[in-house]
Amino acid sequence: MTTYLSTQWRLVASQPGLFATLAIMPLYSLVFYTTLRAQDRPDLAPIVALTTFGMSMWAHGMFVASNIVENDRREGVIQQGLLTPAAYQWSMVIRIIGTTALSLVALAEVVVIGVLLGFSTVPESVTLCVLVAMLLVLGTAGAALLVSALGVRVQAIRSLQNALTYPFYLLGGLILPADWLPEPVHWLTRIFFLSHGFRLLQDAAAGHVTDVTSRLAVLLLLVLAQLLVGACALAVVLRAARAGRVPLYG
Amino acid sequence: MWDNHGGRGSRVSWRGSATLCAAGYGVLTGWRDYRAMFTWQSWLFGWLARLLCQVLFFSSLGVLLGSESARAYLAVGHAAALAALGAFGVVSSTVGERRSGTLAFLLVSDSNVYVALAARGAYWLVDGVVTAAIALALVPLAVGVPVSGAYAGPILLLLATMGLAAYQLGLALATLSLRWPEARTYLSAGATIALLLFAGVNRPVADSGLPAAVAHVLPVTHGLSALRGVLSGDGLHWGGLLAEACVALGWGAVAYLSLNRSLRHAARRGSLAVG
Repeated sequence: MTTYLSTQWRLVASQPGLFATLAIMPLYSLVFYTTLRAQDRPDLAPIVALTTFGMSMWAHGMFVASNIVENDRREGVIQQGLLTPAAYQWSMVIRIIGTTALSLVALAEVVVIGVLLGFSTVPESVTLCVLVAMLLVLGTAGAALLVSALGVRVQAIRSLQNALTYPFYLLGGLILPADWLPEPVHWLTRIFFLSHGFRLLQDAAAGHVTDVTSRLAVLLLLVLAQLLVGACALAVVLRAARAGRVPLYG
Repeated sequence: MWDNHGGRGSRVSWRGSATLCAAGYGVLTGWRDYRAMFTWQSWLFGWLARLLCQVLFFSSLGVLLGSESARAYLAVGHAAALAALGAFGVVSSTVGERRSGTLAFLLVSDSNVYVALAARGAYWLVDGVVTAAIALALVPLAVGVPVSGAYAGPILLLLATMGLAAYQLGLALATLSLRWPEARTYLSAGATIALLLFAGVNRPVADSGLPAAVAHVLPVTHGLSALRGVLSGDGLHWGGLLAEACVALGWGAVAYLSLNRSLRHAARRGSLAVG
């Protein structure tokens, strides 16, 4: 496990582009903060800070998944990796979770940017916020695993990565609660870890959260389910690729 | 076409034809790249759906603010800004010239680098204008501020000018992304955030100081202001259109000089890795 993590860290360190989303996405908070200032609504700063964190976390997860698959395909690592019985899948899981976990930094970034601009963005319940954020990052890593499986399968991974951002920001309720969405997608938001976790994160930041234990338990279950679905999907696709049923190139 | 004894006139004619030829092939290969990137299904249900969600997402900030006018302002601003944001795609796609090894040939050839690269990535400009027009027709409708079809002409003209201005800025930034490919994401995202901050997309343009100065040289600022005027029934403000065209011209000059002179100069000095 440490070998996979250190390998991924060396790859990340040698490619500054991999940090792009983490460096850039938190800057969207400037866009939100300046809009709040123009509208004279500083009270909404904690919400938009979390919105930006959610965008950064999700975009980073999608970027990591597509980047790892694309690089491995270009360097021919996928083919070599498939020759190993199970290690490649395990290495993908560890690399994706490890790199996606870096997005926790974005939470600190958006809070600090808010404070520097004179907004009150420090969450009321810091411990709970960090705990929920960690679970959300794990869930996002699970979604990234699913995307990496799709990436091995469909090849047009960059287009896929681009398409999988804003629809999920809406579905996850990053600005407005998911109830705001049309009725037909409500069932989807109820089983989507991001919708559930983000509401809990916003409540924790505002300091008026109720039923903490049960809500955390539900979130934990949804996150584990997402991780399981992602890892299984990757296993199925890699098995199909090993059997020659998935063309890896053109 | 080339006549050794034809003198200066023939050479100019040859150069003109060669430039047109390079532009034509550029547009053609760019179109093939675009076709390889998207099928109609992935464009419609992936790319376009994502862009529409992007506009809806930012306009939902208006709901959070509890202001219908803010919601409409954000919806129109973000829908129109797609013309520019789409055009910024050229910053990243141009790096493909390095990866595929065609940049080296382009730089040692007699071709006009600006024309070749501008033609090659022109699909981003068209994509940006088309998606912005669709978003402008659909999203404001969804948020309760329908855009009248009677304004289609001026709106398309303004979107095309905004897209062109942003495309020229994108080409200027492509000079940097060709030198430092790893910086491409930072460059296009930085330009996007600058537009969202200063160009009147999210909030009115600043009246004075550095933000106002930055806004005046950025694409979108003048065109979007004119577009908001059209939507409010004031008719097309030609001054805004002209100012946006001037911004396009200015960034076009920067892109031309940086791609044709600076990049070639760097290649000759050996300070540019072309492969």
